[in-house]
This record gives sequence, C-alpha cells and structure tokens, in this order.
Amino acid sequence: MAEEKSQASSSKMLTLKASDGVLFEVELNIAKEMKTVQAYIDDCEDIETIPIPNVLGKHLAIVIEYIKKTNEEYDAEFEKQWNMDDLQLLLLAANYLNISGLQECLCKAIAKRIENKSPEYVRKVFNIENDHSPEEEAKLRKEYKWAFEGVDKD
Amino acid sequence: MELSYVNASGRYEIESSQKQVSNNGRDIISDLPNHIIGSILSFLPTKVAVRTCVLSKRWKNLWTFVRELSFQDHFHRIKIKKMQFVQFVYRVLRHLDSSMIDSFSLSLCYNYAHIKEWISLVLSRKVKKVYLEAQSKHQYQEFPTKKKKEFPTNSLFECQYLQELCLKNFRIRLRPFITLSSLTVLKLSRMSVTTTFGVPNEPKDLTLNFPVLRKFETEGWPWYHVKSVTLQMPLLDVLSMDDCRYHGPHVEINYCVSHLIKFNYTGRFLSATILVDAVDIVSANINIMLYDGSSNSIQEQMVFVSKLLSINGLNAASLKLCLSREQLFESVVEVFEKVRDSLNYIPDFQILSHLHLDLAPGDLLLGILSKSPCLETLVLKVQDFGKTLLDSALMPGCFLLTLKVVKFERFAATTHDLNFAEFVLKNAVVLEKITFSCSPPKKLGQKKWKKVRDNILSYTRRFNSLDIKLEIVP
Repeated sequence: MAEEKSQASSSKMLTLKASDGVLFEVELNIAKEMKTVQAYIDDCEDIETIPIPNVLGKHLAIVIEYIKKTNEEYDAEFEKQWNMDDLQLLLLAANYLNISGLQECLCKAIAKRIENKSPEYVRKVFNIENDHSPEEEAKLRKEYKWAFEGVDKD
Repeated sequence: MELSYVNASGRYEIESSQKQVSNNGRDIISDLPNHIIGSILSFLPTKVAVRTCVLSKRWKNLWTFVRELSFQDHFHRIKIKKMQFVQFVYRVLRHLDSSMIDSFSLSLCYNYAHIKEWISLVLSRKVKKVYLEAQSKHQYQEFPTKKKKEFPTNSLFECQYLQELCLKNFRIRLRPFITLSSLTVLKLSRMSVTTTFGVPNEPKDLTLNFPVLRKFETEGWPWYHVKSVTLQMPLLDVLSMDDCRYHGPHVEINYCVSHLIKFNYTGRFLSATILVDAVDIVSANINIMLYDGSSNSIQEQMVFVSKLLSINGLNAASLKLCLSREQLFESVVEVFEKVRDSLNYIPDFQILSHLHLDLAPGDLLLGILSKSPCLETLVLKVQDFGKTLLDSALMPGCFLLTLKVVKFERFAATTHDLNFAEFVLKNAVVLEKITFSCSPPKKLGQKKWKKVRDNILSYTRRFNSLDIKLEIVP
C-alpha cells in the first residue's frame, strides 16, 4: 500500500533551502524521512520550498545522500569519511531534521572515537572548557573511583 | 545572512554566517540536547560514560541520560579493587533511580551475591534487555556444573516485560513451568539449567513457554538433571545449538516451533532425543563431529545423525551436513570403518543435498554417497581412494541424476585426490562445476598445476559444459 502511494507522489519534488541559500530538489518520499520537514508539509500542504535555517548546504547534501543510500553496509562505512567537527554538525542537523536512523549512526560514530580516551583528550577534541574547581573534580574522581582506573595514554 | 537557533538551555542565539565556516574553538557538543548526549554515551561502556562527569560543570550529570548500562569487571589481585567495582555499580544504579533503562549488561569476576540486588534495582526501571556473564579465567574450558556459580535469583524468569536475555556460565534452578510473554531473544551460553539440583531428587520435566520468541541460541549443553524439556516457541525464526555434547541419562528435548528460517546443530552425538516439530525450515546446517569413544558406538552416532536428518520440516534445498572426525589416537581408518558398517542399519538420507566430509576414507565416502540419492553439492577432503576402489566401485545414484557441484578442499594433487577426481569426472553425468581449492604453502606451482590440469582434463570429454577451477585460499 505504501508503494502505491509513493508511485502517485514520487514524481512530486520538493525544494529544500539550506541556511547558506543552497537549494536541493528532492523527491517527496526522501524529504518525508526528515520528520521536521514532514511536519512542515502537514501544516501547509501547498508548500514547494521549505527553509532549513539551521543546516548548511554542505551538510544537507550529506544528509540527503544518507537517506537515499542507507543500509547496513553504507552505514558502517558512512562515519569513516567525516572528521569529528563534521560529525557533530551532522548530528545537530540530524537532530533538527529529526531523522532517527542518522542520529543513531552518528551517536555511535562519535562514541566510538572517544571510547578509551582520557577526559583531557575528550575536552580537547570537543573544545570543552573545564570549569570545575580542582576540589570539585577531585571529589567526582573519588566518588566514581573504579571508573577512573586504566585509561589509555593519549 | 544570519543563522538563528535555540540551544540546549533554551536560549535563542544568533550567529553571523562567518563563524559557521569552521568549528574552531566552538564547543558544539555541549549544546546538544541532554537526551542526544545520553544517546552518544549509551554506546559507551558505563565506566567511560560516567567519566564524562569531570569534563565540565555542564557535563557533571549528563551521563545520567544514558539508557544502556554495561559493566565489565576484571580479575584483580588487590582486594580493594573488587569492592570498588561493587561500589561503582551501586552508585550508578542509585543515581539513575528515576531513569528508564533499556538494557543492562554485566560481566562479573566476583561478587555474585550482589547480582540479586542489582537485578532487582534494574527490573524496577523496566529494563528490556539483560546480559549477564560470569567470567572464567580459563577461556575455552567449560566448567562442570558444580563449579559454575549459582544464579541467585529467579526474578528474571518472572519478568513479563523482558525482551532479551543472555546468560553465560551460571547454573540456575527454575520452576518446572516458565512463561515469558515478551521475550524475543534468549541465549544460554555454558549454562546448567535445571529444576532441581541432583541426587536424590528425581529429575523432572521442564516446560518453557515463550510465545513471541524469535531467536533461541545455546552454546554448550544447557540442560542438567532434567527428565525432559519442552520449549513452546511458535514464532521462532532461528534455532541454534552450538557445541553440543552430553552424556548423562537420556533426556528428550522437544522444540514446538512452526516456521524456522534457520536451524543449526553443531556438536557431537548426544544421549538425548531432539524433536523439532516444524512445518518448514528454510535453511539448516548440521555439523557433527564423530568420535570413537567407548561410551557410544559409531552405530549409535550414525543413528543420531540420521534422526537429525529426518527432522520435520527439513527439505532438500536447504540442508547442509558436515561430518568430521575428532583428532584421536586411533587411526582415522578404524573410526570410519565402523561408520561404514553402521550405514547398513540406517535409512537413506532422502533430503540431503549438500554434504561436507572432512577426511573420509574412500569406502566410507562411497557408502555415504550411495545413501544420498538427492545430493547436489559435495565438498570434501579425500583421505584415501585407492586404484582398486577406482576400478571396482559402483557408481552412486546421485552421480547419475543430481550431483552438480564438487569441491576438493586442501587439494594436494596426491594420487588419492586424483583418483577420486577421475572417479567423479567419469561418472558424474550432470556435473556442472568442479573446484580444486589449495591453501599455501601446499599450493601447486605453475608447472605442476599444468600437469595436474592436463591429467584431470584427460578424465573427461565434456570440456565445454563443465566449469573446472583451481583456487588458492589464504
């Protein structure tokens, strides 16, 4: 039944406008994978161009490609192409656009890259500023002592 | 052009487009919503997730948004470290007292007494998946039942919203009738499951009712001191029994299933009857290691093989049988002589279409081939196939009608290999493909392969319709 529906509407194209003005023409069923876009369409049926103010053209292109190609094999290779900065921005985009498969893929990829790293390394990679006082930090390390054993050297 | 967005603290922010060029210096991740950070941390062992509490004030409690917990202890020499692990697990579980937990995974080396309390804490969070393992120092040895740790609680087998359960290396005593109405995956690895531990109690019947179970896997033989086990699993897709070995008093295992997609049996002869009540089975893999033990005659073992092959629902297209023999002091020939004799007492393998034989002497090989009237694929390592056999053997029925593919593994171009190749090429009328697979360092040099190939080609005139291939396997 879903197939019949998409046959009728698959020819309908939608335009998505990224934050830097780049335009993307996508098929309706691709666009619908982005639940935020789906909600937009549900609200205003006749819309043809949908603004995506939080996502750069470069990242929107990657997201659209993911939706088109996603499968087990593709997902396994997907995350290897992007650096940590891009992964985070892609995750922001996937979160805004509400694409659960992509969100999960990206969360897993980011986790993999910090798996055995020290807090110092993780701060550096994410640009996190340590605003704990030394006493506070020492207290936390003591409270969860077992967790701080055996960390990789950076 | 301006970019506007709402960050995790709910503040509306405006960025000029110039800053969007790179993330340099920007801490994007801390601005993600809590539940997204929780998702990222859920992919990490809980130990690592909790460490993020020291990253910054914002991160102090972000780890509490995880939905998957996993704890792995290690073998320690220092006693205090064992207690620190226990302390850590309790602190984490208590800190999450208002959270939803989807999965809980625990791999223990000590402190088994705490399992009961931990499970209780976790079940109250409506956990859906539980994985529990008792680590053993000896990785490849299975402990005898008495040495396995007793699982201190039955609450897991009473939890009606549990969806996945994997247990490893425990012994557990269950009530004779168990139902788990939401369970979809069950794996019992190196377990000893019983209704009663031992003499002088009489072994009882055990009934397990899993109305929505999709996957049931066992590693090692899980049933201990039971009279029979009945498993009601009408929606089961995958039934897999790995490394089966059992020599106790006879037991009957009854799988009440319906449509299986995959059936796997790997192991040895069991002093058990396995009944599978299936309407159909899409693909089946039966892998039996034969041995010449004093406790079970070869004949008994072959009868067991033939009973497995006559399980309901198996069909010709899908069945793969692999027979190999245990590395023993006795010569292989003796073991298989007995197998050959026992073949007289069992019915034909009516549905066998794919056969894999490891080191079969020639007459056993012929014996099994004669018993497999529908065989289409044969994979083997030839043990011996002498000239007398080549000259005098009767052609098996499957050669005439069904055998399409033959593959020689660990091919070394010995006389025996070539004799059997000749036998096949001269007699297998409907053969489509024959492959010779060598693994280095025994691979044949160019010159030798050419000579061998010429020899092989001389056995048959049907060059065009036959695909002959030599492959080197790493």
